[in-house]
Amino acid sequence: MSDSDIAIEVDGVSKCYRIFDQPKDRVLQLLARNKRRYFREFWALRDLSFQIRRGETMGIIGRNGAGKSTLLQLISGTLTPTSGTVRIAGRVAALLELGAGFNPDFTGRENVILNATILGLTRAQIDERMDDILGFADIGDFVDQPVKTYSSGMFVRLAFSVVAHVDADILMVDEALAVGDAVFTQRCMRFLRRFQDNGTLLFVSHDTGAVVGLCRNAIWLERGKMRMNGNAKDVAEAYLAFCVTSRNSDMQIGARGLSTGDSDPALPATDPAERVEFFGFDPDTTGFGLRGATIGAVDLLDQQGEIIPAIEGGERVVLRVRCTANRAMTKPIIGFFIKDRLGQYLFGENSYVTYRGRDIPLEPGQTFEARFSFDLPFLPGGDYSVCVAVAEGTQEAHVQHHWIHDALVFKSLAGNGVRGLIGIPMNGIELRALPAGRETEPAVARRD
Amino acid sequence: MPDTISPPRPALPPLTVVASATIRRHVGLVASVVRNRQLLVQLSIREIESHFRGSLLGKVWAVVVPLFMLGLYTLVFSAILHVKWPGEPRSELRVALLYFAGLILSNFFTECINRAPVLFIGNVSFIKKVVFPLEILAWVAVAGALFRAGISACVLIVYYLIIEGLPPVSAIAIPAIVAPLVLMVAGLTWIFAAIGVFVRDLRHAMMVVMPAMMFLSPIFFPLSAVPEKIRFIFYINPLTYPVEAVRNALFFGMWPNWLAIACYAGAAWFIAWAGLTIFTKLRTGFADVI
Repeated sequence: MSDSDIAIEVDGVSKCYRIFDQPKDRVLQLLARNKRRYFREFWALRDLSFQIRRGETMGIIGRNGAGKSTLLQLISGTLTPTSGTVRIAGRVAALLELGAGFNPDFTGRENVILNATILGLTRAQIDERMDDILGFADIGDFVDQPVKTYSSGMFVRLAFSVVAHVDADILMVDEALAVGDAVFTQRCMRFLRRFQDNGTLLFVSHDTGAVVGLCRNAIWLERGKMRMNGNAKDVAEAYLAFCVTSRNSDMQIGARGLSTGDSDPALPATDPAERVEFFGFDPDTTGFGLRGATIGAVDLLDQQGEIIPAIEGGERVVLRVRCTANRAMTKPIIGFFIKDRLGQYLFGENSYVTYRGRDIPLEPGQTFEARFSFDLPFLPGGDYSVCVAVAEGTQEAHVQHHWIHDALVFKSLAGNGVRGLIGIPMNGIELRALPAGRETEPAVARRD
Repeated sequence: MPDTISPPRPALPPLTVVASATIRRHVGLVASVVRNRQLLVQLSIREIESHFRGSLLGKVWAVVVPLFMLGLYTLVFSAILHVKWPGEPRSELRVALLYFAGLILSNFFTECINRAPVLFIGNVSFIKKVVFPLEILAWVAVAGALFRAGISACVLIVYYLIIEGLPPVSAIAIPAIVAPLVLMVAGLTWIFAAIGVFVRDLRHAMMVVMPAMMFLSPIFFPLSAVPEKIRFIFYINPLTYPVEAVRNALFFGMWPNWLAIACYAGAAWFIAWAGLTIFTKLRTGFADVI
């Protein structure tokens, strides 16, 4: 692994944006030279250093505002760093944020010529490859219409097609690809897989599943600093865990009247950063109810009682919902639903049937909890949320006290081949040839 | 990775600096044009084509506009105002031609400089999305304006041949006068385009400055008609020399003073160099601001 194998070298790179409150401050600053007074500093990136070898596929993950776009702009050369240097071996082509370098008034064909020239092809090469490019993009007669008439899907198809045919050594791709339809996305993936043999690929995404699926290594950027750099799966899991806990702690700051830190002494002492105590948005905006009782905490636990940040499906879990009664009651009901990213209810249950006829008297201020123990089905990769409610009465006549739409959010890592909304763990699968004469045997209900 | 299994890869080009806080590539005037000639040609063609694209008359406008303007000058200055060119017998049609010649140069100048402050702002994707030789855009604007000036010049020539007959021999010196003007305009475009990114007021200021440039140049009168005391204003105006010299060559048979051309060309070269320097210096901040 010699030096000549390095495709991208980022060395001590920082980027600071100067934010001027008024345009005239900019001029004043020019005159005042170094008496640093007229601007606020925003450090988009701080002291970033890493190397990417040729042929590697590197994922870049991080939350919004972490500095991913800034880093990509620096690598592609469109931005100048405040300190440090970026070195590149070969030609960089980027497909970021739809329509890189496209002029809206030019036709598709003209934009292909323009962008291919910008990316370094000669006119002869462009003419040679034009048919391939247009074929890959597959937008038909629209190539001769101005690009401003295109849908976003056509845009990205054309842009990617250009990028795919310019003999780039380094390719930078982000979730702009998600805009294309399924056929095109498949074509892209095939191209990317071929490209990965010889070229260096930078993939920017929020979707940790895609990153793990595509990249061997990954970098996690948080607020401009490199938080982690290593194996994609490790980085993805660390990032996920961080998101789950910090999302909720972020919410706490804004929520009114929800106290933090009132921990149940009975809970095993875990690192406070890992415990999900409150999920609280301002309850008025994401839930409703009379507030005769309030939901205090919702956790998804494994069999040991530890909080699970990510699941693969098939695990036995316990959903624990902890509530506080604000007035005396005898017939509390706690229930939940699990919803997918689109808000479809997948499955759920409540405590009514199990506890029908049995009163649970509660004093005002008393906490109570429900534990739902079940085997998680296989969930296709993506985001899911748990909707939780506490009510009082009977299933037919009850009063909602507190209903929260997205009490808990969790992610399923992709890669378990689930088709359909959910997958049920099979108890057994049999396939055998029947000996002659047995075809008409009646089906016998097997009792296992 | 075992080398025996994968085929040998073509060697990577060496690592080159793509973005650095300290290293700044100065843009060479000629080098930039040569290196980016393909882009330049393509963008210029698009620029010229697209100017009237989508309109009903299309390219016909390119001829109709100067034709109409010439007709207008003739009507107003000759038929209505009966203007006389100082030191010449009254000839209304000739006066219109004299004005028109100066106005072609002035329009070329104003068109480019008016556009300069918004040149980069109007091409955001070239700044933020791809690595693009931005200085080219000035040449593209100049090429477009030059093309339209060229068409006006053709209209002028046709009119000239009808009214005056054959032009004097000194007319062949005109390209030598126009060339430094083009360079001067490119330089000024770089300056105002680069500053215009940061100082948005510039585009409004141009609305005032450009008409001033036009009236404070010897388009509607010869320089000799300007009182001595205020003549220095005219000397500062970069339009003054080309307008006067072209007119003298085309209408009065006067060959340009070669020393004057050399001085003007020198000034143009300096402005172009200054323009590129300012551009290089300010360029790194474009993506931050736009």
